Amino acid sequence: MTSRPPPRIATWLLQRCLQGRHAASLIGDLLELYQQGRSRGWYWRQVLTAIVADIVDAARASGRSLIVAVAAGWVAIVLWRELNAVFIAYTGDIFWSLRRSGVHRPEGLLIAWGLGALLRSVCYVASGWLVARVNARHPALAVSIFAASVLLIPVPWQQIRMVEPYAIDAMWPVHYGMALVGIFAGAWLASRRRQRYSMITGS
Amino acid sequence: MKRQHLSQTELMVMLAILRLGREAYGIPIADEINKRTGRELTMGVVYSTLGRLEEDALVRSETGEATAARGGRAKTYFELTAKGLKQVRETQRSLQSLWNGIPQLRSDPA
Repeated sequence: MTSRPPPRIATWLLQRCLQGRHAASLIGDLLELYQQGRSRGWYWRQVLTAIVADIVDAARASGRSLIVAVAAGWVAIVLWRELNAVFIAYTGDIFWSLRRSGVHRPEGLLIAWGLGALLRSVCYVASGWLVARVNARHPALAVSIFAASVLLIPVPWQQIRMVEPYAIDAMWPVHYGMALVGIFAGAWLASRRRQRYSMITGS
Repeated sequence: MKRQHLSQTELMVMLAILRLGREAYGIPIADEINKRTGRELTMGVVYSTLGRLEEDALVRSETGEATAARGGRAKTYFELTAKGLKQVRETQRSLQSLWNGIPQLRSDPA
């Protein structure tokens, strides 16, 4: 039998995305059938349905903990939003302190806006971390659903109004980018902590 | 938690495992279902169903041999547990009792 390489991206996706108990056997079966002469289209179809089936299984297995994890992430965001409101209340003081120390108005606003953005980023990191920790069994699924919910329900953050030359007409790509990067960074931190813990305990 | 019923796909997978005996791994299971029912299940659906059944202790698995054609990955063979066999029998009984006595479904001698 001549060995022909299967579609590389499809196989990479399979190896990255499948988490089920028999993932290796499933990949082996698909490779075996592909070597028997199945088409690339067939292989791709099998890969995509396997990934969807795996996600559905993970959601079913997570059940209540998936809902709890996403809700916990949102509670973190709402609490942080209140903290952000406190920060906004003190922004004027920060701004005038900067002005008194010789910082120009646009730069002062940029620094104040940057501090607010940093606070929001920390919030997203913390919420992503929390979601991944609460649903430790299927963190990728929980974090993806949480991130999607954050994109669908934009958080009405209070923030500093930017002035020229730093004002950007459409700030939503910045907000969405910040949310996505923050949430997935938090999940990554949670996974690193888990790996370190399993190395220590051997579990 | 006790399982109330088997879905059609679960029942087909379990019957295919019973028919295949010791050769029941992903590919033959999908082939057997396709050959007997004409239904083409993707491997993802077959393994997803097997995973669910194993979680409910209706089937058990055993790791088999790895081959080069499989990229060095081992096969996983499946067999029904006693609980699984009992569940299949119960399903057969309940379906049979629904089937019996329906005049429209009596086989036509012509």
